[in-house]
Amino acid sequence: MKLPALLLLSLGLALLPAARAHEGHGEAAPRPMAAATPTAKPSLAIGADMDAQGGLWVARVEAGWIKVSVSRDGGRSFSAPVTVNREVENIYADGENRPKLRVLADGTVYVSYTRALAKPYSGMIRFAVSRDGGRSFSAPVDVNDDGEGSHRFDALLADEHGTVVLAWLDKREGAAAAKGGKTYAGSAVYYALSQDGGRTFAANRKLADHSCDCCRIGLAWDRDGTPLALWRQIFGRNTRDFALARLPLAPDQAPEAPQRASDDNWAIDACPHHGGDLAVDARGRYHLLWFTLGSTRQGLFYRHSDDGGRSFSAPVPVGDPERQAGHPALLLDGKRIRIVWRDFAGNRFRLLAMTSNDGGDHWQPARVLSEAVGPADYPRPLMTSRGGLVLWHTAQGLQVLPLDSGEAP
Amino acid sequence: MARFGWLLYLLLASTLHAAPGTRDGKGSGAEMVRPFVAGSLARMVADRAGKPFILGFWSLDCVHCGEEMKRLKALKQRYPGLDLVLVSTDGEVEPSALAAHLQAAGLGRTEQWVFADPIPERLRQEIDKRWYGELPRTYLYGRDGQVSAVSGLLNDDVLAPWLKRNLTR
Repeated sequence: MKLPALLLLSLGLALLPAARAHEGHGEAAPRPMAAATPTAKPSLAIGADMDAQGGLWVARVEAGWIKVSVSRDGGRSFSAPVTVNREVENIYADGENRPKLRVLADGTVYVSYTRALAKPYSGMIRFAVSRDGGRSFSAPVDVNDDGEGSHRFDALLADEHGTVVLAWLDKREGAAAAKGGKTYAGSAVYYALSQDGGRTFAANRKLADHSCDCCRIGLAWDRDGTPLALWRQIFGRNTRDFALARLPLAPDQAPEAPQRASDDNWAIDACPHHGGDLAVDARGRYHLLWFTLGSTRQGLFYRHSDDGGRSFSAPVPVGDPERQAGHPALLLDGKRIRIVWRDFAGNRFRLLAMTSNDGGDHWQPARVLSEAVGPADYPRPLMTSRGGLVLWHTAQGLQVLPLDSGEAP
Repeated sequence: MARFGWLLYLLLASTLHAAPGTRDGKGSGAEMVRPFVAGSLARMVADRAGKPFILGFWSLDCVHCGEEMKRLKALKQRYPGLDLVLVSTDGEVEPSALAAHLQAAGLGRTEQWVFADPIPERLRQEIDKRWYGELPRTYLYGRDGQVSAVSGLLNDDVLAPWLKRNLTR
């Protein structure tokens, strides 16, 4: 299968309401708009994965439903969507929120998302699984085990052998502190483990105190099969730089103290809504990608570590901060490392990519892969047996762009 | 004719600016919230003709905006003449929800706007190319034409010198 340079297509009718809802926004007249609920807001946020046969799986949020469909022709056409949740839910799909999707070689499909509750900043971490190749899904379950409260920004990591890791930002410590008349800075990073393919999850565990509240968590497998997380942490009173930690799989093993992963010195009482991404290559090199507006540096940056996060390479700037280059993602293909991100130039969003062919030591100049008129999601890169590609969901449709065309090795 | 046009413009501008203050508690408050579109900032600045003002961006779900509102309310009480403009970046929400929120925060009489563009990046590009959308975000417009930007809670380091230069109690 040869992928065409650019496929513009629609994920069916689901995209039409999003496009229609945005018509007429150029006019200045105020008009009643939908309530501020995630359900009512049209969203382009997708989760995506590639199966062993090259099937391209996409999860999206449509008016309170998670819908999963698969393309067997590289994105030209998609199957009729299968609805994951049994009842309509208020699903977070704005900012760095999106449904997460993971497809295993045996056809198992995992989906996670955050269900918003009525109280601000509150939500439930939800998980569902299909064991029949995506034809049907189990009823979603709550993975956070402390009832209603603030649990958001789920991140999903799963292997082929039944291990499922969900990590999220959790304010249960803050709620407990408030009851005692105390304050608690930020959130905590919590996680839950399943060793039986998501049938059961062990008790929630705390990985770290005092994370930032609204930035996605990056998750990856370390070389020894231990999950590794990258998130924005509050250091000191309000310095919001990044931290790394491994998530112990053994129940009797205590989490290690988080390691500082960036020294940007971003002291700010605000929510950046802008996390980072993480990948670990076959040699065990950690690849980190993050955003900061610290006093030390501003913009997107890449760096790597060959000693488990004890020391790092010098930060490499990615993209143009004057164009709001942001929300990047990493894709590993042996020694070839990709970074994809979105920026805004003139009156259009652009999708950009940058490649290193030597495991992150040297980088080629950034390339513009595509543009979009109107709203656009953040890019989702995926590995296929024929090389890397990137999915970009825009108001005009889903773009499927190969990363390997027309590029010098 | 030119003079008449200028007078008409002034009249319109003053009516618009007076609108929030004339609210008498009736209605949903939605009519007070103006759509912030491309060009809105330029008009807002031009209307002020060099007079100092504070332009604050916020949203309903911004964790730190509650504390920011408290600080702004206290500031407004200390400096009743302070020209404060608040712009919500919430986008597609009921304007009445925004008005109600500011009313509850004791800032109901403040000039209020809401982002009205499906691409907030387009508006941010006009406001400040280096603003990534973090909230609260505040711009202090001084009578010397200088603009200071603050991400996160307004702090005295930036505010005190600005107040000293631009406002009298």
